[in-house]
This record gives sequence, structure tokens and C-alpha cells, in this order.
Amino acid sequence: MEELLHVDHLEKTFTIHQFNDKKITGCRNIHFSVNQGEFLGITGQSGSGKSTIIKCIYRTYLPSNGHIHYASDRYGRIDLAEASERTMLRLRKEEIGYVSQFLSIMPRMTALEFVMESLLEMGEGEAAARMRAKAMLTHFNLREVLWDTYPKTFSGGEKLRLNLARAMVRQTKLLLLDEPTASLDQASKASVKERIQELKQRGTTMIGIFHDLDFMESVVDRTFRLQNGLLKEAAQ
Amino acid sequence: MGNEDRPLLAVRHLMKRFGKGCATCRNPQNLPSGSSHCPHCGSVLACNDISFDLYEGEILGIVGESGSGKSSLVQSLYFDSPVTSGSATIATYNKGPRNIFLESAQQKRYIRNHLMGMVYQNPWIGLKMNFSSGGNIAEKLIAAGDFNVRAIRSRAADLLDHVEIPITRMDEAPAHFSGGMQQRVQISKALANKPPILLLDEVTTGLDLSVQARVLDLIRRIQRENRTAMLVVSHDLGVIRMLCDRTLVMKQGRCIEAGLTDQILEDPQHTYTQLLVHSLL
Ligand SMILES: Nc1ncnc2c1ncn2[C@@H]1O[C@H](COP(=O)(O)OP(=O)(O)OP(=O)(O)O)[C@@H](O)[C@H]1O
Ligand SMILES: Nc1ncnc2c1ncn2[C@@H]1O[C@H](COP(=O)(O)OP(=O)(O)O)[C@@H](O)[C@H]1O
Ligand SMILES: [Mg+2]
Ligand SMILES: [Mg+2]
Ligand SMILES: [Zn+2]
Repeated sequence: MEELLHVDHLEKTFTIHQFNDKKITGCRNIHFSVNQGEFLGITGQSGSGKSTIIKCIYRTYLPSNGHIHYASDRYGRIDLAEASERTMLRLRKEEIGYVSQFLSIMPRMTALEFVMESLLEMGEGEAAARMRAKAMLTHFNLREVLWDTYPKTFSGGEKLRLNLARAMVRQTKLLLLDEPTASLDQASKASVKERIQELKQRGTTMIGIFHDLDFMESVVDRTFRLQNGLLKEAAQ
Repeated sequence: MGNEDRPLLAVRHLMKRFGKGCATCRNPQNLPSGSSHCPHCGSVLACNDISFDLYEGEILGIVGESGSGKSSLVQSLYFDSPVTSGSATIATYNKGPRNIFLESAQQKRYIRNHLMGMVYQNPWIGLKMNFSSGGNIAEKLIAAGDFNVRAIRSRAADLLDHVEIPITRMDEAPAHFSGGMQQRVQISKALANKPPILLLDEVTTGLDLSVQARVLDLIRRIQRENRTAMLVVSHDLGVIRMLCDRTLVMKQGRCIEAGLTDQILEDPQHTYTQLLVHSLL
């Protein structure tokens, strides 16, 4: 199988200038690789650095050290740790999707527009984008009365489902999921699972962070566990 | 390829000093650290060695505390007042990749009228408040070489319609409009010549949330439909987060940090950016 992502010696240290340049380790010495079409699950205690790894791949965090080799359609093999900002933006638009653990929802756009935008960015036409966005909101059971309102006042679960709809409405090469099922009820979890399976069938590679181990085991191919700063593959 | 990878606007080492300057502050390194004021002659270095690229279809954010030089920067680019030194080039300028700050007054007028649009922080600067709204837009169209009265009127009506100003109010003076409406008239005026570059200085500041939403929506629509490149100056990190892929942070006239907007907000590197982000989020 072909490798899509190869993370090598990844390290992230935060320096908090306000507190005498205090250093906080986000993650260190992280190695792993993911093959095309595979779903990799990551577990570990709170604060162990799971989100940090995902954010370094998406470049919301600037890695302090190490490499993130990625096999891009557009650019070929490329190190995301040092790719230019323009390159990262291009990859986010075309190849790499992300659902964050905490919702940094843009409050000044309606829910429907928010989902549509991710299709429009990829070059889809307005009418088709509207149709697919509605289908995805329906899939994630977001009540129709909410579609044309601002997500600012949504419940936690509604915001998460909206974020999922936005990220999963389109097919990316790589999808990063940071606790996509936390705070969801069983029915919503089933919708997420169904969509994950659809995307996987069509070839999307995924990395997901989970606390819900039952759910994780039902969707992933391999599992890594982050413990005492080390990432280890769990026995199958 | 080509166009995508070539910056539309490239600014290098832009300096803007208010005041005569003296032997001390002509070399900005001599200014006390963390200050843009010259202790000897009282000059202000409003922009101190600013460089950046702006690409087609991109919205670049500029944030920074009050007095950090944001308005001075966009007003310099719009030739409102001369820069002290530095260069800016526009890729699509028909005279080629020349430093636009060194062009003749006539050429600067051409660039301003055909390649740029500006929305001022203060609508009283951007609009003739006692002219009709339609007249304000007509002025820009005439400057851009349009002299057909009927065509001008219908284009002005279209532009106002685009920003949701009722056409029935086209002949009213913006002095009677609300702040949000004034900003929208300014935007339609800025758009009149279909400029590839738009400079927006605090367009949403002081507007209430629902009006802000409409102005922001309008900006995103313009970006999508016309692939207009924009420089968006704002205090409001919510606005920056929503509109801008990349962001520049200014302090005391200097650019202290630049990066992907989400990275600036979640993993700020500079001491000042860390304070700014933590105090504003
Ligand atoms: N016409 C002028 N004459 C003298 N000094 C000026 C002039 N315009 C601006 N300045 C000074 O230049 C510095 C930068 O001002 P500027 O208006 O660019 O700040 P800003 O970042 O836009 O601030 P704000 O966020 O408050 O709008 C300030 O110290 C200001 O007092
Ligand atoms: N932006 C940040 N600034 C400073 N410290 C951070 C930041 N993000 C994460 N950390 C720290 O890095 C460590 C790992 O955090 P995180 O990756 O969010 O953990 P997890 O997702 O495994 O719960 C924690 O100690 C956390 O406080
Ligand atoms: Mg986390
Ligand atoms: Mg200003
Ligand atoms: Zn001086």
C-alpha cells in the first residue's frame, strides 16, 4: 500500500512569553505513517498531545521540529512542517479537511452558507452546492429551521454536527477528525459512522482522535495510543 | 499557473513618517525600542519597513492596536499622502512592474481610479456627505472615464442595489444615512470601477451585529464573484478570522508577525500577539 502521510520526529513546544518564556510541551518524538485509504485512530489521556499532532498536520500550530511528509496530488511529496502558507491554504481547499474539537464557528454566516462555502471553495457551482449542503445537513439531522440562522446560538451538539457537515460534505484526500463524536447522541453517532464509511469507500484517508473506544473500533483500521509522550501502536 | 503564484500587489520596505524627521529618526534603528515616536523631533514613524504580498482573490488581514499604523498603511497605498520610502508594484499595471509610488501624479490617478478601491475607517472622508449617494458613485465612475449620464445612473443603481440600499434612496445624501448604510455606500463607490484591489479600513467597526453580518457577507460575495484581492484592516479578530486566510500583525508601525490566520490566533509566536489574542478572544 502507498504511504500518504509519514510523520517523523514531530515535536511541538509552546513558549508563553507572558510567563517568563515558560515552555509547554504539546507533543514530542512522534513517529507514525498512514497509508492511502486507511483510517488511523489515536487515543490517549486528556492533555497527552493528540490535538497538538492533528493541528500540526493542518498547520494551525507551527511544528517546532520534525517532518510531516505528505503525498499531495498537486505538489507531490511535500513536508507540511515547512510548506509555505500559500501551499497550505491550497491544500486545505483541495485536499485536507479538518473537524476541530472545539468549535471555532464563524458566527456571522448562516448554517447553510457555512456548509455551502466549503463546496464553493472547491469550485462547485452555487445551485449544486446548495443542494448538497442541504442533503448533508439533513443527513446530520440538523433541524431545517436552523439552516438559515446564525450558529452562534446553537447547542454544542448542533455546532458539532454543523462542523461535521461542513467537513464531510466534500470528499478530501485526507480528513482529520478531532473527537468527532464527543457530545453526540447515538443517532448522530450513527450518521457520522455512515458518512465515514461512505468517504472511506471513496478513498478518503482519515486520522481520528476518539475517547469513545467502541465507536473508534467500529471505524478504524489501526489504533495508536499516546502515553507518557510516546505514540505506540496498539495490538489488534 | 502564472497568475496564481505571482502576487498582484507586492509591497516592500514601506516607510511612512509624519513630521520632518531628524538625524536620529532617519535611521529607524535609533528609535527607542517599542516606540514609533522620535524623542528628538517628535516625528511619528507610522509605518516602519512594511513588506507583504497580496494575491488575486485573497483577503489579507491586518490587525494591531490603535495607532499601530494600519490606516496610514492603506492610505499610503491609495496615495492619500506620500510615502517616505519603499516600493509597491502591481502585477497587472499596464506600465509594468514599476514602483507605483514613483509614478507621475497622472499615473497615480489612473491607478487609483482603475486598479484600486478604498473604504475609509471614517465615512466622512470617503464620501461627500452632502452629495447624493448616486452622485458619490457617479464621481468615481466619471473619474474612471465613464461619461454617459444614463449609463452612469443605471450602474450606480445596480451598485446600490448590490449593497442593499433601496434605489428610492439613491438621490438622498449619505449624511442622513445610518453608519451601516454609509459604509455600504462607500463599498459600492469603491466597487464602481471594478477594481482588482480593494482596501477596507475597519468597515464593520461601530456597526451593530446584524448590519455587520450583511457587510461581511457582501465582502465575501465580492471576493467570490470577482476574485478581488482585499486588504482588510480590523480590530475585531472575529472579523479577521472569518474573512482572512492570512494575517499580518502590526505594532508601533512595524509588522511583528505574519501567518495563517488560525495559526496567528491559536499559536501566536510574538509576545505582543500572544497578549493581543488572549485579550481579544
Ligand atoms: N496626518 C497625520 N499627521 C500626523 N500624525 C499622524 C497622521 N495620521 C496618523 N498619524 C499618526 O500615525 C500613527 C498611526 O496612525 P494610524 O491612523 O495609521 O493608526 P491605526 O493603526 O489606523 O489606528 P486605529 O486603529 O486607531 O485606526 C499614529 O501615531 C497617528 O497619531
Ligand atoms: N495553543 C496552545 N498553547 C499552549 N499550550 C497548548 C496549546 N495547545 C495545547 N497546549 C498544551 O499541550 C498539551 C497537549 O494538548 P492537546 O494536544 O490539546 O491534548 P489532547 O488533545 O491530547 O487532550 C497540553 O499540556 C496543553 O495544555
Ligand atoms: Mg484534544
Ligand atoms: Mg485606523
Ligand atoms: Zn526625529
